[in-house]
Amino acid sequence: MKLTFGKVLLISLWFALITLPIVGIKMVDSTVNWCFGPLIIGGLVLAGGLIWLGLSRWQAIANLAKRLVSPLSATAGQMVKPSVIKWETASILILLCIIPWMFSAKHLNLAIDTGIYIILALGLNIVVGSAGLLVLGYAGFWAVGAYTFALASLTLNCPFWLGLVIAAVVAGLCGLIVGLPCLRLRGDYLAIVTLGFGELVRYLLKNLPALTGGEKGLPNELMSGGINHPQILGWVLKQPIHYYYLTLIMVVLTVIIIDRLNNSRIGRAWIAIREDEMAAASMGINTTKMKILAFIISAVWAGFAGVLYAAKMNYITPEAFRFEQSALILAMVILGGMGNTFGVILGAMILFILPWFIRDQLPAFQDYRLLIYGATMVLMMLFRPQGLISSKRRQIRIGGVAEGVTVPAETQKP
Amino acid sequence: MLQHLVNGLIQGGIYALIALGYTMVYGILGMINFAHGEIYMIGAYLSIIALAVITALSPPLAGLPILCLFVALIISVLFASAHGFTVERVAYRRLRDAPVLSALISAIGMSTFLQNYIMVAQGKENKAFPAYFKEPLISHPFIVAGARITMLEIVIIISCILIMLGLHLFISRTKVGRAMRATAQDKKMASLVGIDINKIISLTFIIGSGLAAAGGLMVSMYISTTRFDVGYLAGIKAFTAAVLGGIGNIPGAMLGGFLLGIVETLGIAYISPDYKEVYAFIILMIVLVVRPTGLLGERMAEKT
Repeated sequence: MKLTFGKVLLISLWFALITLPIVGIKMVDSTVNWCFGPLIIGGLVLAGGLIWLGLSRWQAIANLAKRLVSPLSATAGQMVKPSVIKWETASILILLCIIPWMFSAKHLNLAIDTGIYIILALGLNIVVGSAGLLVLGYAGFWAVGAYTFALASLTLNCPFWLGLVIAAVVAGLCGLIVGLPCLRLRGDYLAIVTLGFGELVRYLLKNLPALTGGEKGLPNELMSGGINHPQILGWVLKQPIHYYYLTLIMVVLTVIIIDRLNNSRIGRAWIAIREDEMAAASMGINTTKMKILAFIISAVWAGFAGVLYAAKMNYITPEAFRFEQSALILAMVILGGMGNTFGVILGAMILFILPWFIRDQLPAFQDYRLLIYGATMVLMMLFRPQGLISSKRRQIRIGGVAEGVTVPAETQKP
Repeated sequence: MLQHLVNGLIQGGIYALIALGYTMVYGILGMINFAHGEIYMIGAYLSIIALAVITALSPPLAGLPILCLFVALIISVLFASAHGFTVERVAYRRLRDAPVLSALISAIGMSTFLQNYIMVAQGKENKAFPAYFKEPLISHPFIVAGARITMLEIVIIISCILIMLGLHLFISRTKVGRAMRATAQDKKMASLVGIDINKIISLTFIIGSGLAAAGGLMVSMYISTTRFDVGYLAGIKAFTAAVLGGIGNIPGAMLGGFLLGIVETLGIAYISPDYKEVYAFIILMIVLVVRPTGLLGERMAEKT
């Protein structure tokens, strides 16, 4: 469809019209106030359309923008290759080990939370990015991990490290129970069932006060005490700085394990399933088994993140594990680039740190956060479905062969 | 018992209205339109806003509450349909040939976007449905076998059934309806025999959104309040209803909606009201495990 000035004008008028009753009318105690909202929205759409028009007319600018973007993603794509990154990784790691000493408590806390979200996003990336299965209730598995550890810690005084194992097993079992019936079905059923699972977990946590403290969360007056901090040979890790290093170690371990997994037989099987399930099955891959495996591993990672979260926060409520969180983690994976470890980490950092700073500086912006997440998800799917940094295999499939990317010899063969 | 049955029928009728939108879109595009629950919520808001505007602009018209309700219904359906149409054009059309996952993620993004768009524009607090307009409908309840049934409840059930009958006739008897069925069966063949696929898909979204908006008006009138986040749960439940009846199957969505509504009300009455939201999820999981094609569906689960 060729976009013309007239069409842009019409589209912006249309947007101004349909937003008229919702944005243009403020109701305050049964009196009706009109405001200029629709005009602003129409104006924004008009401006956006005109910029779009200008860009498509002025090919030079478009080409320039393309040239600016493609080497960025190409070099980032190169960075995942183990041989190239050794050097950079080492320096980044050393930097990450030194900087927390310059952080204030507030920023240290932010860094730990970001780390937890990176673990979650990487865990979700296994199932969404690698195996191509959409999971919408990831926060449910996270909640299972956190509550398992909190309960074990409060009732049985279970130490952190054992808690990691138990929570991983329980979360993995939940993954198995949820995944088994619906992995044989179409992908979108899985999405909806996991969404149901996430909500189910939250409602159960809310409505079983005797076991989980209900809305009050854990610990509460029935189950008092604190959730155990991790200990190493009697040394209790409870300072934020300890949690920073613990999180850092867990993130690094996650990255290493996922990198190994992706380059293994299993990882290749997942990618084959993602690209074409029927072809994968005819190549002798047990698709159901592989999908369930991806699902379980992903759930296990949510369990790990849950234990870390429960120990760090020392207080958990069901409201911390809402659908919002699942959507946020999914948005991180999508923004960064499905299937690309580096991209997902970047996505998690952008989506967690940026809103935090904006909230810190401009509290009024808080309400617009999710609005922008939603819009970002739609826009990414429309214009850059491979994410900010696409994984190499994906890049070749999605955009043909992108500029500046050398195609590995194996993929060039017919 | 009769009281619970009536409540269940009302709830179920609303679920069925929303479920129709899901099932129609799924039948034609093979995707779950996650933003559909949000359209229902927008419909509820629109009706409340329309009533407020009517009261503010023309007091004499406000003297005829039933007429006002009709006007509000028309405004709400029109604008909600416009929203549904726009959502399809913006978020789904370009992704029609993309992998299913892309369209699904786009739909989830759209759902989050719409929900927060209402929250930012209209505020986080509950919006009350003006009680004045439903007054004549609830003032003289009938007492039947110990159950208290108001005119409003009867009106809601009857209009749900009428709307569904109308839709059924439209799809089974008219030319456009036949075109819709053809498109659902095979898009490529349908376009070869001269059906404009884009128009049919837009029409599907418009009709589905209109039905959801009608449901939104009825619910906000019935329970007297609405909120920016009601669409999410209603959407999941309606989707459950659609799956229960066999997704892609229009009579199935109606059956599934009524069944789900009745099961849920009975569950609240006889098991525990604490788990009100959980019944739908449990039904959904059981259906998917035992009979993924739903009660009336014959479509194969694996369709590529």
